[in-house]
Amino acid sequence: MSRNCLDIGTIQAFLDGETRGDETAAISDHISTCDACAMMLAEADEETSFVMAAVESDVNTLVPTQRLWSRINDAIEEERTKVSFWHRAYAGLTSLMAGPSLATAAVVLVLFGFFAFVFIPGGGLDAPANQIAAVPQQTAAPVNNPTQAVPPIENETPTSSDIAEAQPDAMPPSTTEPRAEPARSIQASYRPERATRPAGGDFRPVNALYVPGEDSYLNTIETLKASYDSQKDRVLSPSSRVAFERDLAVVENSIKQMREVVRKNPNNQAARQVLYSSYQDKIDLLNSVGQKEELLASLQ
Amino acid sequence: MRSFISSSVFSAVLLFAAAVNAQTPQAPPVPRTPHVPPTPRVAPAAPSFPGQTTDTELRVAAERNVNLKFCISEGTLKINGWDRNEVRIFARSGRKFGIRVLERSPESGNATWIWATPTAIEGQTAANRGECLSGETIEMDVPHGATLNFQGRSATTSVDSVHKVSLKIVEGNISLRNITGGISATALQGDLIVSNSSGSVSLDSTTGNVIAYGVKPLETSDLLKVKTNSGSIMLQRVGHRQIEANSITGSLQFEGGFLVGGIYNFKTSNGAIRMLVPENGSCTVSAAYGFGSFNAAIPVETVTENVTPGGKIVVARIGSGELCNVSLTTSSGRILIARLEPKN
Repeated sequence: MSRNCLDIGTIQAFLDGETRGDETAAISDHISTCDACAMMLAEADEETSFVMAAVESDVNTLVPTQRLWSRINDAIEEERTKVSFWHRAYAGLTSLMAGPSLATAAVVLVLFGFFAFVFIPGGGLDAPANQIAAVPQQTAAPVNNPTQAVPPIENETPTSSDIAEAQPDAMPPSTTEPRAEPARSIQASYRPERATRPAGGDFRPVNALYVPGEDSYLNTIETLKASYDSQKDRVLSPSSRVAFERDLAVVENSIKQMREVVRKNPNNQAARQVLYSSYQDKIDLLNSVGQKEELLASLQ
Repeated sequence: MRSFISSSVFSAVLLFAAAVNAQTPQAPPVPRTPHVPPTPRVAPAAPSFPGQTTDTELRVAAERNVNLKFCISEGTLKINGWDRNEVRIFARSGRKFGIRVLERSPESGNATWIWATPTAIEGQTAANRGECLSGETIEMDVPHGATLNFQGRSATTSVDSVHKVSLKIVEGNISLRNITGGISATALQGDLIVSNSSGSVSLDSTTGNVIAYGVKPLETSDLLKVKTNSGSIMLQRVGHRQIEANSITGSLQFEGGFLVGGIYNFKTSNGAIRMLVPENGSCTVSAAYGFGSFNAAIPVETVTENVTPGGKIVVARIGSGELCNVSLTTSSGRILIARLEPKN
């Protein structure tokens, strides 16, 4: 240590940023050439870091430092500058309307606009109504996309009209717009949610999360459903198919109801038990078609 | 001159009439109906089968525990057990068939395994001959100890007093009585009725109802399994300790007492579950239902009751509740436990 070495107070002030500019430059020059002062600076820096790490949480949360106060004040000032457009417009109008001539002119202008809107032929109050009424006629045209034209029965409670619609003989003759074919409505009666999920990736929306074990049921059902789709035309007679679709709709409705309950309360053991039971019913139903085809094939 | 004038006028009239006749459209000629001799009255024709139809009766000596396998395409099938060591098959107005002995007893030489199959007629190959019997009525008499294994397409079937039956019918009702060694029956479109039988019983129907009464196990572990999609299930005086009954849209009814160590599972998706049991029984009932209801018309002690919207589980005891377990599951059906009236 030489006579020109720095004392610990100066070094601490240097670390805290309390020295002036010229002092800071002189201290930096000295430290760069004096090993003892550099060592002392390093030790002081280490001690400061240790202490600050220990009291950091208390300092940051309990004590509003000057920096915090300055940030708060800056934020307040920024909010003041962010006055909304409508406030400014209101303030401008208020100042303008202070003059009576301008206020009168504005009232006359508003009245003129109102009468023009009401009494001008071809416009006014009738026009929007006509436009709105025309919209459903345009959008009611049949959609070619079968996935949109025929909504899945799974999301609806099966009714007698649904069953009648699925039966070709019971279809009333179409008198207005063309409708989806009965056979298509039967085919579209079951659309598993998994099939509608986007391909690729592991995207699963929050409301489609599975309860434990549900995934394996869905996988099995998906496999059997693909098999059923390929077999139903040659295995099931029309009457059998109507009965089958009716049973399937009942089971799917049950699955839908119980799934909603389980989604809301995954700990509802009773609902889960009934849900699994309904899944098993659906598997048995789809499996029965395969069994029938097997039996028919053995009788050929 | 006068005659010339009159003849000229007459000729002119004729020409005018001919011209008018030529202008008038002609009616189409009526086709002549050929003379058809009256159709002779004949008896109603038998069902049309490929090949020759005739009445056929065959007999073969068989062991008491003979196995018989065959297939039936259509007709009414009646199988009865008898005390003779002989198999007799009779087909009325059906295809010719033969009995092939696949295996014989080394001691007696009687058949132990028989296959009834149509015989080939001229011009038929094995491929287009098929393997299924057909006829207006097919009757079989087999030893009481016989085991039957057959399939059918469209057949009304009744089996009585044999040892064991395994059958699958696509269309047609099935009636099984006095089967002593177990039943496995599938009727895809048709009702299934089983009475006074024993052994392990499996009854499966797609659209038909299933009725079982007076059925009991041969061994303690024998299972009674009943399943239908859209039919109803009725179990009456059933002695099995393990019962699984499942209907999807049909209802389910059980009448009888619970047995010691019994495990009963009844499940329906949309139908009702109705249990008629003695009031003095002892069983623990676990009823799980989604949007249905649970009612007990006999004294039960509720052990736990977890009722939440859309899912309820009620565990209740009948008596001490120690002797058996009953599980009732329905999604939107009703569950009712009522008292079985004792019969005098």
